Amino acid sequence: MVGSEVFARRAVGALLLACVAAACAAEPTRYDWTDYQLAMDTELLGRPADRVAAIARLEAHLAGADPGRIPPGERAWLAWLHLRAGSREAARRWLDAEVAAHPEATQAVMALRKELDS
Amino acid sequence: MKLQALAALAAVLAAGCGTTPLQPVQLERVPQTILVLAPHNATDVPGADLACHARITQPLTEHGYWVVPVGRARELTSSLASRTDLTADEALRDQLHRASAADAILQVTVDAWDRDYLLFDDVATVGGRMRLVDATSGRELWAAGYGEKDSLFLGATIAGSAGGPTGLMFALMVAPPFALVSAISRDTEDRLATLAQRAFDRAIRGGLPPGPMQAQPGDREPAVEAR
Repeated sequence: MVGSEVFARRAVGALLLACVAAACAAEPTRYDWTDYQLAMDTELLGRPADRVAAIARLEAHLAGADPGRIPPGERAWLAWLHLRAGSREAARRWLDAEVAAHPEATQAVMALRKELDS
Repeated sequence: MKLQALAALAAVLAAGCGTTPLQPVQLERVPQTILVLAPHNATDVPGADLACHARITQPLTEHGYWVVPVGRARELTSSLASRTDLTADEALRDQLHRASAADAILQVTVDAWDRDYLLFDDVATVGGRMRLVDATSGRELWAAGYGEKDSLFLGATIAGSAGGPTGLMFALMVAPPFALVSAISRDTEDRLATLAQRAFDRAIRGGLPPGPMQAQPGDREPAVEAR
């Protein structure tokens, strides 16, 4: 067996192992967290420190995403961001949307909404 | 012969990853909504609590619970609340319940948030404790530790689940091609935050029963969509 063939086989083996390890490391997620997680990192870790951009990204995600892949609570998070940004009407709309999507969270969402109505 | 050895190694890795024991406890009452208090940072690393707070929503939600937006949670609580015994402090518990209407309150403590550099190794460690308390009765529903270690040996990641001799062999084989990429793309904060998320995920999946939303086939199309 020539040297290049041995090297090629080793490379294929290493690639195979890398794929297996990558598959193991990443737990499959039911929801698409890209924008929601980024928005939480923005708010808590300041990376990137741009709330307006985070709101725009979340709005875009919620407008185009498969409803089955939207994480429960993402709409409420967007509502909270709107509330802190002073957009009370948008906050109200997204809280209503959260309740419609997840009626089991109605009480918790209503507690957040109390602040709007106060 | 070598290919057979590689295949065997891959099988061992796959088997090791696929057999995470799942033995959730039986809860007296399964909550639907959870308020995660601002974590108590028992380390001397500033920001460890913030990173943990930013990364705990995903594992809880994926496990079937609705989590009060953490931005809101931070407004309602300070890290002092996570040091309080909520099973005993009825006044604080009642205050949190009235403000959030959450069924349960999760307290998180961060005990370890380290990154150690050795000769050829770069080890990151996160760990701590979690405690879930019923927001109305004050009973402790669940408590667990969480922790994860991650080793960047010459650039290859060996997660705790793939550690030991197998992980080391894997690292030796694949490290060189990945070393440069890893060195460039990883920074300490992101790495520890990601590790914390993995630790939460493992502890929650392994010990907390699935929440009510886990049983549903998916998010329903909302009747009223705010567009």
